[in-house]
Amino acid sequence: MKTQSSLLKTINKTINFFWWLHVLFTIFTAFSIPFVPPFFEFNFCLKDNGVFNAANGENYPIEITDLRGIAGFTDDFQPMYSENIILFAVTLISLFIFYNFKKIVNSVTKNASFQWENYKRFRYIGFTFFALIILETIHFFTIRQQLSKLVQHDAIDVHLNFSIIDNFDWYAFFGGLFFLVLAELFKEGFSLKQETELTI
Amino acid sequence: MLAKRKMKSKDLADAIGITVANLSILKTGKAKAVRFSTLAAICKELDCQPGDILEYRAEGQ
Repeated sequence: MKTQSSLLKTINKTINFFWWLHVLFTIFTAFSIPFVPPFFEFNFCLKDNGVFNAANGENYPIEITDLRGIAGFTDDFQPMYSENIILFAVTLISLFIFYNFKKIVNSVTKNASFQWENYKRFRYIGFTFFALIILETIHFFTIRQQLSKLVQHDAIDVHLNFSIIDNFDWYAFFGGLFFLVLAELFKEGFSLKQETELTI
Repeated sequence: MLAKRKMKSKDLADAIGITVANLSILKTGKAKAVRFSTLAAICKELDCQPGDILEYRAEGQ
């Protein structure tokens, strides 16, 4: 049996540490659902639909601001605690991804990388990334609806430019594809390993 | 062939240097491939030709 490299040991310990950190974070998130107003990170900009120019009597659209950052809700905006449930679902999904990844790393440290379970785990991770994108899209549309109300309420004639394209989770999309390809690689590795083992 | 030679699986496995489990895989046809060295050892021990212990069957039969 091959001995573990020190790099692999360090990676395993790090993954285990972050796994427990994630578990604690998930517990905290579960308890915070009814209490903490949600906050979000989105790209959006506000556009004034028209500023009257007295000189020629025309309206000029002016972009007020282009923001990227964490948007919190103020007191005059109804906090949507239901949104916290979506965020909690995202946390649970990432916990599931982390759990499978931890299992894979553990099996690699035990020199048992190419097993059928790892193929399934990689596939789970890949598809879970796509589930994450669907959840985030639902989240995005509900937030947009609420933000549109806020803009209409606070500043008349201001248009909210808040697009799904700007806020699409490309990391999750390519992450999902990457893990699905990795799953296929492990499937091939498994069949090669089985072939070697069954050569007598 | 084993029965003809009145030999036990364990004795053959010991003689050719493989485990009884691996010999069982060979006997049940679950093996993906057989090394020439293993085949030669079996033939030597059982005093036979590869054709005596190998048989072609079409898939599904």
